[in-house]
Amino acid sequence: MTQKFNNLIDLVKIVSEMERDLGLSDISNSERKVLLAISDLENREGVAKTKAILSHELTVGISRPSVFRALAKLEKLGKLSHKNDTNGAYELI
Amino acid sequence: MRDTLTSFVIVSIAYIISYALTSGFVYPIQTTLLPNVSEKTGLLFLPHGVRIIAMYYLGWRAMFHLLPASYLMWFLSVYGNGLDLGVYQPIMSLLACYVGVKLAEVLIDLRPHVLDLAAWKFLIISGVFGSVFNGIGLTALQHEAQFHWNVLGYVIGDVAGLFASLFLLLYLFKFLRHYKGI
Repeated sequence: MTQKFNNLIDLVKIVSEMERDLGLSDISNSERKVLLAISDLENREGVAKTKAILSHELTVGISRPSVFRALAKLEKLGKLSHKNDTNGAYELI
Repeated sequence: MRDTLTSFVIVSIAYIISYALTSGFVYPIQTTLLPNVSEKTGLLFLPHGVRIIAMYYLGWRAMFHLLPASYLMWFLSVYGNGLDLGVYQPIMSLLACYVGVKLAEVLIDLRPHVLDLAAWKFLIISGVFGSVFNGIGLTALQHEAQFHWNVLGYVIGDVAGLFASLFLLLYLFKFLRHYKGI
């Protein structure tokens, strides 16, 4: 049964990769970088503050308005939310 | 044993559904828009996608998983729809797909650094190889005239069907992500 789940997960990953390569993904490259930056900051520092997101190595090539637009869109898509106990910080859902 | 049975059921259902979609939806449109194209040559053959994906995951075992469903649909096509399909066509198609996947694996192994392929691209390449062998095999089996055009027809149909199958899976997973929270 495990092998079947592995095969299904692998198929989902293959199709997701195709989706990204063909530009059919829900999120753009910039939005993906913002998401990855938040994930990285959460792993390294426990919190992803807006200032840190803006200066992260993955988002350094993205303009400030674009980062904020990406954050808004990702929040709308339900991929992240404002962190309740910390001002100006985000967390992945 | 249980795993084998589960794989058999999933692959068979996928094949039957894709064949039914092709014969019930694609073929009538094809006949209407392109009446000169042989009824035996589908220009969007969805089952090819099922065959290639099954071969990718199950290897040679996929041929045995697919054989009953292939013959079931062959039977319905020949005796239900009156198509003139050779009795060995399902076997030829499955063998062609398996050889196609194996050939793609050998080529990737020979040039692993040059051909740094995403898995979906590997599936497409396998599908192309499989469809070429399938086209040659089926055309030879049917002793059809206009060899090159018939082979080309099979290749176009199979590859288009593979692309369409992958796109169907893509939008199915998107739908599940958005509306079912998966």
